[in-house]
Amino acid sequence: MMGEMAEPMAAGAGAAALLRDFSSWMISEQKRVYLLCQRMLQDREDADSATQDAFLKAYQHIRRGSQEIDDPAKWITRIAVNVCLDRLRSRKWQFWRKRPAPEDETLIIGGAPESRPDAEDRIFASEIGQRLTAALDRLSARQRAVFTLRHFEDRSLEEIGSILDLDVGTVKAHMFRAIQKLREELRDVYAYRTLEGRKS
Amino acid sequence: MTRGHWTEQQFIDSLYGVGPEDGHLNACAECRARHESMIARKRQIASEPEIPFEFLAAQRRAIHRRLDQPDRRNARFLPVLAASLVLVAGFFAMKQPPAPTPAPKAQVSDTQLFADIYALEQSSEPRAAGPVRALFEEN
Repeated sequence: MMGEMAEPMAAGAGAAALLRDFSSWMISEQKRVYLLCQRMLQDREDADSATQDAFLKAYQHIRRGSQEIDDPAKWITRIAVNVCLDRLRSRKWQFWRKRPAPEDETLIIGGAPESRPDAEDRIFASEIGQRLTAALDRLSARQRAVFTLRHFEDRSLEEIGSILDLDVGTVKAHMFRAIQKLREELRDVYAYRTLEGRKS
Repeated sequence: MTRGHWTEQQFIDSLYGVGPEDGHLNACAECRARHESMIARKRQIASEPEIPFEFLAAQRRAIHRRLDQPDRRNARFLPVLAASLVLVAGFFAMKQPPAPTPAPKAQVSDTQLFADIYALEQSSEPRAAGPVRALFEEN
């Protein structure tokens, strides 16, 4: 039985160790990978399927043992992002595709409301977060990947470049364009007056 | 060095790693405080939501089921391959020259057929001798 207490595997673990501990490693990375897919694809079922695909690809790669894996966390992130990019590209042809259900969008950022004094702030933050997440639709697949890795995973531009196999200049260009497209939402996210206004 | 305080856009750009690198935050305590509060806000907005344990467990079960299955990466191309073969076969079938149509046989009525057979049966002379005999007949 797989325990929920599995620690993330240390960077530099070899492929053989990774294969042996695949299940516990998967548990340690699963939620993060799923949320990444969810934020990129904005569809719960699609994100579920993409997460499965990512771990399946990882397992097959490990089994082949063709390449040493230096940083398993970054490696699975790269696989997941590429799976999501493929799906986003193929969506261009799926013009009949529906918008994600509101409950899917809520799941992305929302959490259970709390009874603490800052609960109102959190709910408000959650609403803004949902708006921001919905606005990701306006970004291209690459811009979305760059923005998601920075905003939700707090990765440096160098790390993002390494994950997406892009140079830092290109990552910056994608980020600039993403910020321009999300200008209104980001302004609301970080505006002091909005939050203070609700408190007063 | 930026004169005055940073604009809202400069703060946002900086949060995402593409802001001005002018050292202003080191020099301006007010902007530094604002920047730090924006970082805290970003963390709050981007904090990880709770995902139900049952959902994650079901997802792991699905992954393990798929791990146990044989590698069928090429299986997805089978329908495409089959469709391609059908198309190629159809193309060659269309290119085949049409089979020669048999020449239509002369229509002979039953009455005519019976009359001919009857005439042959009644004649004592072989049919092939008819033209030879005609050479010696006087008009």
